[in-house]
Amino acid sequence: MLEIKDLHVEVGGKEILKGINLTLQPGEVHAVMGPNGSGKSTLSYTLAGRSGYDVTGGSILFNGKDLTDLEPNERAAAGVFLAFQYPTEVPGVTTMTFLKTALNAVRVARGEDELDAVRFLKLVREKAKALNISDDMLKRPLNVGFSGGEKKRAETLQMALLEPTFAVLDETDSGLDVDAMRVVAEGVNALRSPERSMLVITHYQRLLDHIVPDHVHILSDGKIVKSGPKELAREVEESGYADIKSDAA
Amino acid sequence: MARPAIQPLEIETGFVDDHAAATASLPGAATQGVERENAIKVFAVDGLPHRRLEDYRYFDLRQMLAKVGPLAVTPGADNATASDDANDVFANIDRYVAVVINGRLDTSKSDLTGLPEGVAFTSYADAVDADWVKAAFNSAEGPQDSVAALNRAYASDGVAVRVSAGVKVDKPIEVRWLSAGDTGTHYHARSVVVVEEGADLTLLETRGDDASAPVFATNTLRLVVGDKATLRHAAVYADSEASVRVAQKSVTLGEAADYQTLGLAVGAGRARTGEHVHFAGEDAKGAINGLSLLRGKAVMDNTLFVDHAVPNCDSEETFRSVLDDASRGVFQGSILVRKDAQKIDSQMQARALLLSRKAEMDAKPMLEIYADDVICAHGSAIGEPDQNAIFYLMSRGIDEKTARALLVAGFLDDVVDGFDDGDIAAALKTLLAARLGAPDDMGQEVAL
Repeated sequence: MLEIKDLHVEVGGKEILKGINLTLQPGEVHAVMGPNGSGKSTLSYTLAGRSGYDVTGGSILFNGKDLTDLEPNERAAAGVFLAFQYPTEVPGVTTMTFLKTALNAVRVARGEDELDAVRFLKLVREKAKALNISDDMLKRPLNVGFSGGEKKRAETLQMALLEPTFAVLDETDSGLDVDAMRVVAEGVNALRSPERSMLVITHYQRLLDHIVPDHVHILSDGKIVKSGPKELAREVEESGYADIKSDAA
Repeated sequence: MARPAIQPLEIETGFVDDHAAATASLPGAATQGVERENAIKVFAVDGLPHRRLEDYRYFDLRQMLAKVGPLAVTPGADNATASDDANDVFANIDRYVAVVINGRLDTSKSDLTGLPEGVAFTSYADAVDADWVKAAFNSAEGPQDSVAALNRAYASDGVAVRVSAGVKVDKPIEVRWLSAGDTGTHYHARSVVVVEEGADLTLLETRGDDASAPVFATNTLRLVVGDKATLRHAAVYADSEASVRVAQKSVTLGEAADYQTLGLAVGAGRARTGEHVHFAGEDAKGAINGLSLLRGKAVMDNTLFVDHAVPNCDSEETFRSVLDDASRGVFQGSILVRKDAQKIDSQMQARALLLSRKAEMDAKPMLEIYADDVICAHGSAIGEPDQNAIFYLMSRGIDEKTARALLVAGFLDDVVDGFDDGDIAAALKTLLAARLGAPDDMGQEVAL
């Protein structure tokens, strides 16, 4: 369903991704691991369509359609979701207003009807409850003053509402203690389904104890240098990225 | 020092020459004659303020009116209209309404029935000789510039409100300022609101017109907030492109008084609010906010002077502008902390979002501090909508236009949210969302 072919990406005139190849089948969870500066965040922003991340070569085919021509909102409507490493604070916009606007935009783009306030509130409450998100949090401005755990739970709530078929989780474990990580991981696992694939981007193996991937890829200097089963993550944890790199060399 | 000879404008000469005849028909001609004459003499010397005066540096009134010929004082009318939706912003709030047309209170259009005992509400013209009105104006510290003189010289009418000690007014009072006439007009209103010890009032103002010919109006508002009294004030300015407005507010806060004000400019005209807040009693709090959402060639100038004359007071001054097209925002804010005014906490911030290359913001925050144990800060930031936030919202399926509208509305809503009356804040946010094409805020509905 997602096919990344020889993807080259420049940021500010500098090539960061130097020919990525990656294929995800429906229902699969792939992990991309790599040291700082290897291009992990560039990959996630490129998939979501952030401006300034210029695709200079290759393609990203999503259900047969090239994503690189689409605006971020069009990608969201098509079923792509990026859970941010650092969700942006948006002062003055309540979380609830944002959620309703986003959900209805996506529903309309997908040919579904808009939810009125009553149906929307019922749905959001149900999903929020499972993630231990209070009404108070929904009334606050989006991500403003949220703790690290609250931000990641809010990201997971957005994913649950928007129901993407392909989700990128960018360093979802960063800024979380073990308990908070468990809550988020449970939320993510609840969203695993035969139709939905996920790309879990992480520096550390610990998140992959909770969100167990089908495949693991090691990203280094803008290229995938090694791929393997879930055990590869543990190998990296034990021997570090340096050895992996030397393997590839 | 010799004043450089400036050729008086036609409109300035008109103000002086027409004064005697025009004021003869204004309310209070018998009792206010001498004061009016003295005031026009001051104006005759000084003329309209211009950019070489520091206070009017970014609002050159003389130039704005240079090509406007002499204007007439026109009486109130039956057909005053203001089609801008901003004028109905408080329509769903249970409130008392006073309608002032061309500077004159129109009781037939007002609805003040049921005002509680202890609230005196009259026209300014009827109350002008009352001791409490005189006392309020005599103690005012507002600017003594030539606009103040012109306002005094042509003082027509306005409202006079006195809330007796301990009275909590059950509903807000809205004063609607309307203009009528399509031949060009000028008028100068004066109002006074006194909230006595321990009393509580919410005062709303809406101002608008459908003028096609120039309207020049000045509006003096004297606010006295007594000891332990509370005054919430929200004003919405939706002037037409043809209008030039100068409002001058002079506020005195007693001991432990609580004052908050929020001025929201959404009009197409050129307007200025000069506010002077005098902290006269300890432990008082003041939250002074101004928001502008402008397009076209609109101008909004907020010029503020806060005088911390006594210790242990807090003030917060937050001004935000969203400027599109060739609109212009001005903020001149000055905080004075006098020598013995220790333990003052004063935070002044002016921010602007520029949505167009031709939009302009002039911001000049200033602190003048003579006490040594105070916390005071000021800041100013002018920029464009946050690209990170736009991307974040778009990545959730929201199109770029709506994402920008949400962000801009949020930039202003953030300040509106601080207003200490949820219904009024919600009404203002609905107006902003409608203006910006942003989705309506759901904050209130969550509580259902």
